[in-house]
Amino acid sequence: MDIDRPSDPQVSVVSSDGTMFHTTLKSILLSGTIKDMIEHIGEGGVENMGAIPLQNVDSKTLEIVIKWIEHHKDNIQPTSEEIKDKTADFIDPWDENFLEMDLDKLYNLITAANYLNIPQLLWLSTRKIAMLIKNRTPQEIRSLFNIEDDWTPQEIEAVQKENQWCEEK
Amino acid sequence: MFSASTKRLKLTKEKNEYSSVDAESGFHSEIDFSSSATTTSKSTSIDNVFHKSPEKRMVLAPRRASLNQNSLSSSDVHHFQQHQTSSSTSGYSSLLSSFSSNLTGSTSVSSRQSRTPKKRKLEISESDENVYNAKEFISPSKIRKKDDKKSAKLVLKEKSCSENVILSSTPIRSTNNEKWQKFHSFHPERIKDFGKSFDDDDETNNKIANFETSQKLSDDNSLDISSFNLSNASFNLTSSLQQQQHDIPANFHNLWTDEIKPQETKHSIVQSIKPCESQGSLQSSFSQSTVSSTTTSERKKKFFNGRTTFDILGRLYANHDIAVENILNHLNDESLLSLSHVSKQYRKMIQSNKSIEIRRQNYLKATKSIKENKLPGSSSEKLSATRTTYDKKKRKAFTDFNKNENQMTLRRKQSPAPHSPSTQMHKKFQSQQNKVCKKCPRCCRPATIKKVKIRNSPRKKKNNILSISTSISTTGRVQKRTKTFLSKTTIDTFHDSSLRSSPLFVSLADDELSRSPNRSSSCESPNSSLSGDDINNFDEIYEYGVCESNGCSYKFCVKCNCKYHPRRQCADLSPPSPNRYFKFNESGGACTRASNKSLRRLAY
Repeated sequence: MDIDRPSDPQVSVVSSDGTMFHTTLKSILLSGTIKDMIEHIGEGGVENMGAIPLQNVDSKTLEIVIKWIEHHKDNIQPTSEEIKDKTADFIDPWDENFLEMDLDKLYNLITAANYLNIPQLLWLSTRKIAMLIKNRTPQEIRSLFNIEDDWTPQEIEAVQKENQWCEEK
Repeated sequence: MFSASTKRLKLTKEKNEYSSVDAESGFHSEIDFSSSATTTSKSTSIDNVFHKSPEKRMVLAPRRASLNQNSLSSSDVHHFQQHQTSSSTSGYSSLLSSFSSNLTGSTSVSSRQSRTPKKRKLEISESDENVYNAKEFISPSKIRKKDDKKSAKLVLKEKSCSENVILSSTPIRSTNNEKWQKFHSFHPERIKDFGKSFDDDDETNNKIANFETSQKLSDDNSLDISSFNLSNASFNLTSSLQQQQHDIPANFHNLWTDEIKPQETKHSIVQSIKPCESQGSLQSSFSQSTVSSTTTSERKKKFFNGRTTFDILGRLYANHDIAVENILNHLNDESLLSLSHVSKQYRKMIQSNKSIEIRRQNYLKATKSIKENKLPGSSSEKLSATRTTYDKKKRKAFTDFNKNENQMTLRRKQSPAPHSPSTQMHKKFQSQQNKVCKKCPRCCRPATIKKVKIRNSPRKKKNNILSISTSISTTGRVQKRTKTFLSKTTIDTFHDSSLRSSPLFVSLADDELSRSPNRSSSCESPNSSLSGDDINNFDEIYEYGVCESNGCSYKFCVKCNCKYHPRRQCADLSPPSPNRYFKFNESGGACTRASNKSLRRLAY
């Protein structure tokens, strides 16, 4: 029986819009949420478990997430505490290319990574947004995110007074 | 033949009739061509192009009448067409300059005056050759066909107009053929890039022309928009010819076929038309309308990831997502500060997170402290984390000054000649005049010796104390002739603090003691040293030392160096009791026979 059984069992997950995705157990265990679910079920429950429903993730985003976890399944993933202290800016070029996507997709990816509890993916996606904001003036950030300037003239004066030392160059 | 009257197209300004305002440029621009009676058919054809609606025709009727007075000849329109074609090769500038020069009387005259009669003849002949054909003007397709035919002539004209050095200034060619050949051999690129040079020259001409037109527009109430309007029209027409070079609006061809609605005229025709300031501005305005759309989209794709309107941070913050904190943690202090200036929501977002708000505040403080006082040696400078090498270099300038200052301080603090440690100690001990010092047994610092006369009451004398006779040598050693000892009870009753206050003890000043004749030789018995009543009253003089150092201030007996004990004899110096002595001899000391014997016994 053990010979017939595959080394890495397949797990299927279902997105919010009903699309089913198949992936390996090893890769899906990168998600903390699914890992907890499987641990609660116990041994032998994985095969009989069926598809795991993920109500907060749509199919497009889930596809992206599965792509990422498939690529990183062999890597040792840092814990959330380790990631908090992480300061190194070195990022895998594959990840850099992977995160080249629209902002709405990136938003969905962040929410999905947060929901699925994948700290590394969350770190990467948030870093991507931070890099967009980094070293930009307030006006540039406004134009980037299409934000209205809702400061009143008095508030602007107050802010300028507060930051007069920073503005002088 | 051009005449001054025919070339000048002067239109009275009728706002309600023909003016239309471009929404973007805010510029009155309406193309209105009408010719003299001889060219009515041509004018109607133009009207068909631009104003096919009956309302517009009605409006055009009085204008035509006014135009008839001013009489725009066919040659003008032809000339416009000619320039339309020429602009495809040489650019807009040539067209505008020539129109301005031809249609404005004063400028044309002035320009003509400056020309040589030969040139004038050339121009006239060329203009005669190019006879106006209104049909050609109407359809752009025909214009394109004829374009190739006329290109050769136009090139000639361009050359004649612009290149005075090479072609139109024939003296080089006609008179000195050798020079021309040399020029041709050395500067072939100039001849190849003929069009370019022509454009360059035209730019200057165009500027002059525009200046003249602008002047007229501003000065005259009767608007002389001939050159201006025509130039605008030419821009539209020539743009069709330049379709190969630039992208043109898709509805451009519809202008010729379909009916033009009033709104369309505003936007489609007039949109890209601007007051022709220069060739560069024209080209840029045209290119901006078409090319800019593609470049901006590319830029947006590059920098904004294809989206321009998505407030990702605000949305995450609204959902109370943890990712906001992660994003803010990735940012450095400077960008955090700029993010807080974006909007109120962003400010609130940063202020809600304590650690990030602290970071921001610290950054503000740090920048303030750095920029507030930059003077070296100020408190803020000392507080700043590190001193760079730049600061060290800065101090180099003061090295000479510092050197001098150091020398001055050295002179001031000239220390005396070095002494041996023993002499130094000696000086220390001798420094206090009229004071006898002794070494403190605890800290080895000088300690002043004080003397106390102890008055013993007769009652006490009888009871306890018999007599004390001591002699203190100069070295401090005491030869004791003790006959009686103070009783323990009396000693216990006197404490250090109570000694001075009690009437029995009188402390004497050192001066008084030094005055005594026996002081120098030796301290004899108190009876011998003190005279009269004192002998009766004071039975004993007790000497003790007090350490001068603040930390120590140890009071000690001069005789035995023990703690101060005024009423008690020094313990060490007391002779052993006979019992003790006897016992000592009995037991036998070390290395005696008895001890040796006992040792042997123990060993075996």
